[in-house]
Amino acid sequence: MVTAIAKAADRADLVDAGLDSPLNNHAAAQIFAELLGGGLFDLILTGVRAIDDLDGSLGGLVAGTLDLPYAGLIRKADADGDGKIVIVQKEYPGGYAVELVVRLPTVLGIQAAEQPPRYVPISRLRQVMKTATVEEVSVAPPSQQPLDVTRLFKPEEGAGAVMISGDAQEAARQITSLLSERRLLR
Amino acid sequence: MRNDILVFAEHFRGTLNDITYELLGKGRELAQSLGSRLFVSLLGHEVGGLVERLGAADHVCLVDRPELEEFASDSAKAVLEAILEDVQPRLVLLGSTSIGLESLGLISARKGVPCLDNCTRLESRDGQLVATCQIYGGKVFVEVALPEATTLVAVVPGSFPKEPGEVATKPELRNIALPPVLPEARTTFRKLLELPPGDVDITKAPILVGIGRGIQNADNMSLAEELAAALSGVVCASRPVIDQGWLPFTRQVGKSGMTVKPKLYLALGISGAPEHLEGMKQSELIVAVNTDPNAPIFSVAHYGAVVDALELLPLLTEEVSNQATKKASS
Repeated sequence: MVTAIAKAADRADLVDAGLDSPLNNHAAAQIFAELLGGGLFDLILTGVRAIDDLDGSLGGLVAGTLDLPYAGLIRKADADGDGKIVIVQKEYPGGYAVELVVRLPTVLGIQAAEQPPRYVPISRLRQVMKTATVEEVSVAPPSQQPLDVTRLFKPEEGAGAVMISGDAQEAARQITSLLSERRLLR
Repeated sequence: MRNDILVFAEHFRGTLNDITYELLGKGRELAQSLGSRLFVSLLGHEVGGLVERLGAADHVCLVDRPELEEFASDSAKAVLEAILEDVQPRLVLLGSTSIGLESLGLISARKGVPCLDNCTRLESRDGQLVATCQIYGGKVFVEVALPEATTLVAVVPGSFPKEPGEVATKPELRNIALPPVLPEARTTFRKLLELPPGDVDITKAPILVGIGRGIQNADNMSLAEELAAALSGVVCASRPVIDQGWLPFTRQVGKSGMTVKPKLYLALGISGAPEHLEGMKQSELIVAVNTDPNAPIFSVAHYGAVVDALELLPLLTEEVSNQATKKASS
């Protein structure tokens, strides 16, 4: 959280929501909507997809809960001069993209930032650690029930593939042999 | 509630996307099993000609208006909600695509109905609908028993065959009650951005050397280029490599990049997130190399090796080059 402030944020809140069931983004969205609603923010940015998203991604769920528009897979976003709209580029399949005009307030799912501030100098981090405060916010447990998960399992190891054994040298030899058999070499 | 099923049709530049046929085929199978009807929604402008490609469905909900020319507008989402209200389906099938995902969470929250994403399997067990979805980049599968209420399910493209959904007859049109003027759109389409010209078209390359995080840094890109040269192939990549700027966007394989079907796809240091797999799993021959024996890439590969791609790359280039030399001299 301190790193987030050191990079760009003016304020950071740590939310204690008592979420006891994972894989329940509807509950998480309910919490965020409660905290972020009421016209506090014009622009709410989320990621596009988390690795444990089962019941939809957070951005769309928060937007739907707050009755705001949502656009995901955003690779570029520019605020318009009068602060009432953002102009975004949304990725489409096949390498295409579309340019959209989105009226504020809105929720955007960001796919990739153009120049993300990945590195924070240690001096900046130390300075922020002395001055920044992270607010701890408690909210009531959400009412959204999780889905009825009946089974969690791992896919079979190497399922479908004929595995080539041996070290890298042996793998190189066997792959070359395979490609030769398939007439895939010049 | 009836057990009816609704498919959201996707189309682009006048053609129905493959995911539409995949969903129609699965929808038809489930509708037969449940003894229910299959509906398909078709939204757009001047898209009436596509109706006769949707014969796998019993009914088509066609809404043809200028403001629906591009799906990204929120007018389209308002219309989808009206269709949901009218049809009251038990199951709604969408693509887990840039188009389908735009609506999934939004409509789920607005209508107060559950939803699932990343579904790769869907079946009826004695009337109980069960979906299998991927999480943790395809390393874990989750089986979910769907509730009796309307549920939205987004399906990963390529999970079901498209042929059963390709039925060229005209389904019955169903009139949907819509207000004469849709609510003012808060998201509007401005323009389509084409691919930058000049780079090689990886969808036409017969041999692709695909690289992922395993390449580690930009300095190692030359190793992949050398192997591609030895194989007369082209280097492409999964998203992390593109995001680093080591290859242009035109070389990205996966959900928001290209879908490729080469004769050979060498996946080197690619773990195989679902977003990448959907762009390459129809390749004729897939050889995957990764240090993680549980990497999901091995689930779609025909051959696999658990070794370090960086260690393998120069060795494989040398073997391939030697083989070419032998062939030339024989």
